[in-house]
Amino acid sequence: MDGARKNIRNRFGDDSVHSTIYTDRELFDAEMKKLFYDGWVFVGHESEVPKPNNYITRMIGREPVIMVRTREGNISVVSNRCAHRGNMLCHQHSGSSRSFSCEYHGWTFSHEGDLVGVPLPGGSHKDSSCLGLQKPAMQAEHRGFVFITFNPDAGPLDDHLGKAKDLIDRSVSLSPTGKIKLSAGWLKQRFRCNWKMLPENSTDGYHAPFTHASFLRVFAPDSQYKMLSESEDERKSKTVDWGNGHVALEHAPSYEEPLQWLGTTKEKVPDYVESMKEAYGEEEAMRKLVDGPPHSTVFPNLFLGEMNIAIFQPVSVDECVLWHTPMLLDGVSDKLNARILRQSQAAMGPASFLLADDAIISERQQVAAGGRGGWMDLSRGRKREEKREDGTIWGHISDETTNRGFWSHYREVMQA
Amino acid sequence: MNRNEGNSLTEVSSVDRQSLVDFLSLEARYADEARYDEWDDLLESDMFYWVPAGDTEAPNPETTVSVIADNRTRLKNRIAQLKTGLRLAQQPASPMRRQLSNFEFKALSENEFSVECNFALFEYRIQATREMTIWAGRYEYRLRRRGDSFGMFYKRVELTNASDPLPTLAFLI
Repeated sequence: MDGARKNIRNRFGDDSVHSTIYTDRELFDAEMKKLFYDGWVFVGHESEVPKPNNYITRMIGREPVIMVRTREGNISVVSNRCAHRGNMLCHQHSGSSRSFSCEYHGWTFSHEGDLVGVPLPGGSHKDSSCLGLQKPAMQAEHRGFVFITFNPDAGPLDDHLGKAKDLIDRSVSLSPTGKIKLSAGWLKQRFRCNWKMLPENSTDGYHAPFTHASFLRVFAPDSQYKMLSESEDERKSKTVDWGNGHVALEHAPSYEEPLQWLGTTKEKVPDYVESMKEAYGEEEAMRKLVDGPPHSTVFPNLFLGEMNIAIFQPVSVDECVLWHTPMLLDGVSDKLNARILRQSQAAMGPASFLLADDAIISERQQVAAGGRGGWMDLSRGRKREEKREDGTIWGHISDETTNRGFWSHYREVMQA
Repeated sequence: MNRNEGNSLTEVSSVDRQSLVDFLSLEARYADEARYDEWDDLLESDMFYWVPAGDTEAPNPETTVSVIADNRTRLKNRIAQLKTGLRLAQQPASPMRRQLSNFEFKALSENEFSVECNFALFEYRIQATREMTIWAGRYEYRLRRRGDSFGMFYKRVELTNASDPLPTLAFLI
């Protein structure tokens, strides 16, 4: 594993990556440790466990975890693995339980992971306080988004998120109450490719006219997607490297009218516009409604995909899962949320009009990377991108500023 | 003559059962062979095509996320996208065959029927990984009498593995 990490510098050229970055099993193991266990990762959103005893199960790298709303109303994350013989405690995607009881020998744990019950206790002589569930070293949240790290030296979440905090704020502030509801369930799409192709492709602004030609031909005329098929000079959207591996396609410059990003107008959803004005004031509300949501990767596994929240889940070196759920807004009509749901289904998921095609490209890339492989170019736009005073880098929508931002942070973390 | 011949409304005559199976065999063949226009011709104007996700106990196409939840317009667009010849996820179209079995019939009215059956679908993922993928589950169709045959106005596809990660599904399932 350390060998794989030492080799990191050999896998990067000036503006290029080597295809072994997607195929080396040892490197995958190193990524699980350095990125997913030692770094901050997204687990879930508080709205997924609205009531005490509600829990969800997730995979953090290859570590199964449970996120639960305790009886006191806090959110607790514990390893989904009995401290006794390692059986998985919860095998459902979600549920409700007053405690976690192991079906193997009946050990029972509190929501906080403390061992609270052992059947046939006569043989027990150890202090039960050392037999609790494993827990992350740190847990923190921002606007209801819960993150954990297994590394006590990872530093504060705020430092990791940096400008990604503004992106999360921008997402949730499309709700007049500042809250979102991830209550529509998750759809999970299996990709037979390396997980890093998901963050790469999600903020690649170059591929849309080609990979999504069929979509653009059928749907783009008269829609918010029209801008994806514009010529190089016409396109106003930007690529942004926000730092710390957080990167974005910034579509706000392409929108002239409020709610264009949702394929509607303010006249069609007057209640929503009114409640946004009440919440944020006229000027601020209109700015939010013109700019729309971010399209941004929060390194390494969260994607704020416009009106979708998505998770990149690595499975093995050549397999991963893309989770997504519509980002429903609190304090708006059911009709507006139904529109968000429909739009989400059109864009993401195995049968969607967009991601189904991305998946095929990623799988073909993985097949092609499996042989001798070779260098892959990421130089596009290097000469025309703009580095701003706040350290962010802005490029043309078709430039590889985003992928360079992702890889530069990846290198830094993996070599540390 | 009443085709149900005195039976209760939910019972379906053997003649109608055979016609319904013939219709559904044709529907399956058109879907298997990527004959999109012919498949589309089988549909009524109020068609709803639904593949629920399995993550929620009571899926509802209005409030929970679905794999597919197409009204007639969206389904027309889905087919139009496939027909561009540029839909990478079905370029080329997956060779596939499906088998239907364990039919159960119900009359919804004199002219409308519900048919449920199990299915196994063998898809060869020729576009990328070249694996044989097996899809399995249960279909529920709702059909309306249309001359000597039927028109389909509802198809629900309950995938056995809908709660877990699914590979690309850009064909007509």
